[in-house]
Amino acid sequence: MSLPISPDEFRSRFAAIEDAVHQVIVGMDSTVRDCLVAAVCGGNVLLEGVPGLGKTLLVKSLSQALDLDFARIQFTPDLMPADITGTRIVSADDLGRKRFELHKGPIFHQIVLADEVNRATPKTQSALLEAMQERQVTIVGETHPLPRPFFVVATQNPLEMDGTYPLPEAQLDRFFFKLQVSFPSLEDMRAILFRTTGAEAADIPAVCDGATLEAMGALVREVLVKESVQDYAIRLMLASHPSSDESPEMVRRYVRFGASPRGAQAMLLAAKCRALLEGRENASVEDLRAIAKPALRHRLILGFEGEAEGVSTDSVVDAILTELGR
Amino acid sequence: MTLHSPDGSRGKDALAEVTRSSREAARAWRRLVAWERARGSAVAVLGLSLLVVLGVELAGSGLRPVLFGALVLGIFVLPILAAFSALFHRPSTAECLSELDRRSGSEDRLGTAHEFADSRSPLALPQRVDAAAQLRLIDVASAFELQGGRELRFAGWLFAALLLSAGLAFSFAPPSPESSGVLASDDAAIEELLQSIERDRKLFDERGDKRAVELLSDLARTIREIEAREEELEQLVRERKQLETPDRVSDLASEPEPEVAEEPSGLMTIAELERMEAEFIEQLRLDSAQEAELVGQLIERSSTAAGLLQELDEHIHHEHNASFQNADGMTSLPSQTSQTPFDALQSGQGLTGNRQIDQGMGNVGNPIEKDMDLHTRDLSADALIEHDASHDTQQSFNQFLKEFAGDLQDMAAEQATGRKRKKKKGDEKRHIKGHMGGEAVADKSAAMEERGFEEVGAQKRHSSPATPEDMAGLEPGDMGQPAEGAEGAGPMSSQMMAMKGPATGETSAGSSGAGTGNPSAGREGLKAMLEQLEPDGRGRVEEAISQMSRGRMSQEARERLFEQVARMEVRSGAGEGAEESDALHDYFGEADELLVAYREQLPPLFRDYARGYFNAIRPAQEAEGRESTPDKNKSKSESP
Repeated sequence: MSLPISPDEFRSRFAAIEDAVHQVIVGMDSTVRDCLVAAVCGGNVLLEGVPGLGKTLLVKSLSQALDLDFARIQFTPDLMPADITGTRIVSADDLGRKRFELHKGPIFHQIVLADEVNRATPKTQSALLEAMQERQVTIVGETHPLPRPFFVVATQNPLEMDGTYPLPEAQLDRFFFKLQVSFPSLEDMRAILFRTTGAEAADIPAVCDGATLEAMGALVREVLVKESVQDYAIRLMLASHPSSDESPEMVRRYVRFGASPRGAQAMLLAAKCRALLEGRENASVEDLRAIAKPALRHRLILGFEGEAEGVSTDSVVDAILTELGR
Repeated sequence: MTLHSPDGSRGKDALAEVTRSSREAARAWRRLVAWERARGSAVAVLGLSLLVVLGVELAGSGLRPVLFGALVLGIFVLPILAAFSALFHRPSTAECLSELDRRSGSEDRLGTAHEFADSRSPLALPQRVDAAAQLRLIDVASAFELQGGRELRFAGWLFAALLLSAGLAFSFAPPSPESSGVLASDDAAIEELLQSIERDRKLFDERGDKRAVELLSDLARTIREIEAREEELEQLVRERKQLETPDRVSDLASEPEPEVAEEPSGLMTIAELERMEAEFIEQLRLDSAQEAELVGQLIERSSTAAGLLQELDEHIHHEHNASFQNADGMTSLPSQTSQTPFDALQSGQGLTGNRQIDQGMGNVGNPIEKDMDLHTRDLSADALIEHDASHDTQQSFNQFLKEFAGDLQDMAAEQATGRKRKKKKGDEKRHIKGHMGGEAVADKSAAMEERGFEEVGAQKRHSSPATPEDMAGLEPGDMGQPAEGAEGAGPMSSQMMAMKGPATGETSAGSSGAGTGNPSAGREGLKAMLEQLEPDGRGRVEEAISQMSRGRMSQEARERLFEQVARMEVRSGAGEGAEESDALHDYFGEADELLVAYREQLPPLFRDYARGYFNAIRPAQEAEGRESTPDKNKSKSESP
């Protein structure tokens, strides 16, 4: 059996992509890496941050580095599902004959940026999420596959939640990672301003392509995971449930629902990818602990008490990691 | 892209390396587990011991050395046992590698390589190689390094606190219950004793024995009063102890102390004193040579014994030398042609004649050596019977003298130590058994039985009256009754007599006064005996008896021994409570003497109950010592 790509090449490719993105994006190292890990693993990312932090630029830069076509969808309350998936419209040809013509929506791109996804109605959100999950779109009874690789990055504004439609738990569970974009530091701001207000604009070279990205994804799935590590991922997921014997007091008190098996899948894939990036061919418990937060923070549903006390899911995940130990 | 090596040797080598490391890790892990268990148990035991010691101190019951020793032993033994339990810790290879991964930060490389040893995944081989490369960077021993400095310091502090607490506990420990009071009385035994007294009192009441009822009631009341006054008795003992405290010594410190030679002083136990006394008594016993010499002197110096012995000697020798000769040199025999030479002997004439012959010859040697004609020997049955009887009598007399000398020794020992000798078998009437003269019978043995070795027989052949010297040592009443049918009895018809003692009527020389418990009676008996043995009062017998009483021990040695005993104090048991034991001894001794003195008036049960009470209030240590030695108080009052 042969490998689609060698581990060394994987690491080099990955590093090249990161470097390419960082030619435009200042800081956000973990965010860039995690986005790329999600992309390699075939997952979708939910970015949460205040406006103006470069979330759109990040995704756009990523698409440039990966040489993947990119589309941005600005979600608004009046956005319709057809605005995402596309629709059939009546058009006339040169001879004046009228026919229905499929106009594919922006979803039919390899990298889709769904900006402020929580501003659209749940019906519109579900159209996006169906595409994310199924990797196909049904338009007027016809199913159309989406391009491969397909990678959705949705964004949320943690401010101005009035008039928004928070994503339901079932839909949140479909995102591989939820990444929180932090405000840049002073040093990062200097670089940002220098780059964005200067005369020259950086150009991101394409260092990878879709096929390579998929090969990288295939290699990630080849990474070895011993039974105890796999069990640890399961224990992490189960510990997020209040009824579990291993759940800490914080989970029992503040969490209403824990992570689904998708959370364990996401953790394991991400751990494998991280292992490869660390130069190993095996995933470890340390890998799992390192990616537990982006993989679980959006899958824990806090109860009323948790919401009222402003408990963050990150603290809950920290409590779970402390409870389980190494 | 293919990552397999052509022959897979790299993977095998890497796997072997990983497996090897698992064994090393197992050993190191087991060592670490032993250390951790020992350390944990030591801290736990130290903490628990400290709590126990503090608890004992707070309870005020005092820390016993046994408990402290057990705690210290547990501190050292339990950690060792906990460490040995690590021998049963046998992790699997996978567990060892996982533990090594965790401790070394290998990120599950080693465990994954072992788990996927047989995997055909394209990443299995590079993973294995990577694991082996990582293994070379790991020091397995360092990964399982023995740690716990903080715990050890904590254990050290606990141990120091334990020692300090134990030291304070020992300093302020209250005295043990056994030495807390003068009378470590067995309350249960005393209560049971009182109940027995009550039961017997009722029995005597039913029988109508009012005297016994009254005595038992008084006894029970006295016991209760004594128990109630235990505290008062303790106070008396403390006062007595204070009289001998160093305070009095300090009062004399200002006076110049006279120079005295260092003398051996100290405490000796009752057992040691008894042993010394037993050795002293043993020294009073004479060896065979000394005894023989003194017996000889006694016989020689005792006129009565000398006379008797002479009579015996003459008679026996006469028997050997009996013969008939012509009238030359002999007193003529009665011309009784029908009288046999033996008959002549029976009539005593022959004896007289023989005496003359003996005196004339001056030698009573062996008749055969004297070339005497054997056919002239009288071999009649009666003659043989008399001959044998003489020998028996002589043997009996010798035995009597020997026993008599032994009795004198015992009596002397009694007076020297103030203790009564033990009654020996045959202490009853001791006779000199024998028979002289009698009827001629055909069968010697039948004749002996018929005669029965009865006391005193008539000596038919002794025709001459007894000389005054012969009678000098005898009193008329002292002579035994002649046997029935004796002929020719005269003043000396009882050649052999039982030596009688003074008014008690007993015949044993050493038993006079032995049964009354009064040493003075013994002295009276000895004096009377001396007067009887040596009526002329020359003191030679007494001198011989004095030599007997000294025994093998020289006078100087005996005086030194007495002085040593006088200087030493007698203690009871292990040395503590000497004053209490002295008070108890005085108490016991006086009470026991009263029990003995009034034994005729007291019912037997009364004495038993009184002694039972004494034993119940006797200190435990002394009671244990007395269990191995004869109860002298009991023997003192056992006499009828």
